[in-house]
Amino acid sequence: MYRIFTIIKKELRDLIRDRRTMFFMVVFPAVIIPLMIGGVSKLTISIMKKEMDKTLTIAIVGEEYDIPLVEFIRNQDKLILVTTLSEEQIEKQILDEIIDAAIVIPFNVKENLSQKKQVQLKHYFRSGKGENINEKRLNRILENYFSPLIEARYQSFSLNKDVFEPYIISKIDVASEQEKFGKSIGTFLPYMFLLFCFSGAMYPALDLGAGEKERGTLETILTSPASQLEILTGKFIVVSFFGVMSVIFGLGGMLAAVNLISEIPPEVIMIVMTILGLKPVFLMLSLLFPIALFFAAFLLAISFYAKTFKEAQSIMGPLNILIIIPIIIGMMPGITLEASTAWIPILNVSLAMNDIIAGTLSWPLYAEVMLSLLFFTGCSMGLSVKFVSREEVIFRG
Amino acid sequence: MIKVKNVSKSYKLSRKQRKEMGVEFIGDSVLAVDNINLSCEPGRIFGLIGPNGAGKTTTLRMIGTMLKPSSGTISVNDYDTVLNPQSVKHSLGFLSGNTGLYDRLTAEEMVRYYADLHEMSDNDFQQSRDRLFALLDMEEFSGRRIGKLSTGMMQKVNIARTMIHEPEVVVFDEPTSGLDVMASRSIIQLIRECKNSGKTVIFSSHRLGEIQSLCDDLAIMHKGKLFFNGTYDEFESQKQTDTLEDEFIRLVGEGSHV
Repeated sequence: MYRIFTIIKKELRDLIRDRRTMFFMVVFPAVIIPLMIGGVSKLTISIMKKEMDKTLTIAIVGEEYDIPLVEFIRNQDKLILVTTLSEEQIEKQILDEIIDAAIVIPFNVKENLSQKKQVQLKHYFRSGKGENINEKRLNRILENYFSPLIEARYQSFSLNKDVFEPYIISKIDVASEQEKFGKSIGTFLPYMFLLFCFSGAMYPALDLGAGEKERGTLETILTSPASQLEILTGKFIVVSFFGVMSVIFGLGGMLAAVNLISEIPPEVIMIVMTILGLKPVFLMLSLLFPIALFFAAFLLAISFYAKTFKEAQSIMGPLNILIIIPIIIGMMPGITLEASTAWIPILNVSLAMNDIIAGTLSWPLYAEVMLSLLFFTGCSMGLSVKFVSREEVIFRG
Repeated sequence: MIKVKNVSKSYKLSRKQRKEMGVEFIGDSVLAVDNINLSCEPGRIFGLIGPNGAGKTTTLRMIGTMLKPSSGTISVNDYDTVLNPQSVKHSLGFLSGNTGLYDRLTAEEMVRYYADLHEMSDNDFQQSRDRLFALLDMEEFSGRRIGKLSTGMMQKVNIARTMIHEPEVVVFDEPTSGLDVMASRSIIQLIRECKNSGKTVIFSSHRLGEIQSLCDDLAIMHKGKLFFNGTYDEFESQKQTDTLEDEFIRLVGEGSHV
């Protein structure tokens, strides 16, 4: 035990002095999370504000057929009316971004209104790219004009609109805000934490396995009384530690973001503070700790197998895809944590973390996830021990 | 004391490696060390020489417990290297041209690390450290990171790391390769001091001048076999050429036809 502790102390001291390791463990998670939360919030608010403050240019074709409607639209804020275009010109003008939308008024407005018939207006718009905000603004204006007309029409027939709507549905969503957040934006957080855990563990694993072989320091330590198992155990603990610390710094980054960035919406802050509560943090770390062990064992096995640092990097690079695929599957609708998915590593952690964030975690499934992680970690460690014990692997190259 | 008895070491080749050996190659393994016997006594320097690929490093790694013999036995101070590797390592110091140092540790930290791995007490470490650092003139750079040291300074750190636990047996595998004259000198001095203090020393080198000036016993190795194994005086009396170099080339040349 003393030698394992000696190895841990030395590896920690050595890696903390390495700038690249500290970047991936500290800077990357602690900076990326605040940038993401704050940056996305700021950008979204800025775009929304820009679109809401924008003066819309609306073309009206057939203004002479419904002067009250046109005057109502003309009197709205931040609107410019263009009444000189024909219907054939509208599409090109919208695509060329000369106008934002157009309304075509048919010739038979007065006749249809007097006969209590429908008037078919055409609303030309362009969807996507933020134009949906423009469409919604114009729709709101038109609805504000139509509502009193509709009410007046019902009254003219001495009718109540309830006559034409025998059923209405009141939708009551019993999901808490936390749960709603957990099922939507919350799916990204497990991805980020798993990515931080993996990247935080990857560089130390590279350095402590293949890096040592390349520098000749592995041969040196093999001449010491430390056994191969003691050497591997010490390195394994250190690599796992760096994986977990990356996640902790990521959580710290989240806390810093909500405290320092004023543009984050209050509902996002509320959800983030719920996530950073003692129980959710404890539960997330309890899942991330075994996954960090799994990553450490797996990455060390590869690192010891590789001849050089570069070879190890080239093997580990594509592994990022292996990590991402189960996480992406976990983000798909319909994929939930259940008895079958609880046994698939990485996917199970991703889904379990979603449930923790949403506050819907099932304890039996949590236990299954832990068992699965311990099993796969054991298998990976077995592989690492096998590689470290094989002369042709240690002295390969 | 080191005893190597009927030791062989074979490596299984991969398919790629077998192809690289050529069409004439038969079999699926290579015999790196072929049934060698040697013995190193305390207070004597045993020199092991041979061309590249002769099996010297493999032999020394087996003595250092990093590799296991395919057959035969090796004992260091009566401890079997396969059955009791921890006891062997406690009494062994190993220095090679391949053994590296940690760039981000200081010289002091590097030596302390190996002392801790040998579970030395603080007192024993301090005494040994002070003696070695004075002997090697290392106090000046003891607090400097290894990555900032010159080659000669790094070699001194390597020597201190090898000797900090005062091993009874010391293995040197081409320790002066890549070093200049000044750095090589400190190694040669250390080897002499090890002999004078009664340690068992086995030493391999390509520099025949070093072998000539240091060794009491000599073995010449080629293609995994020993072509000479005896005292240096016996070698001198038996050689058929004028110099160690010529005799070495003669023996190795004959060995190539075996």
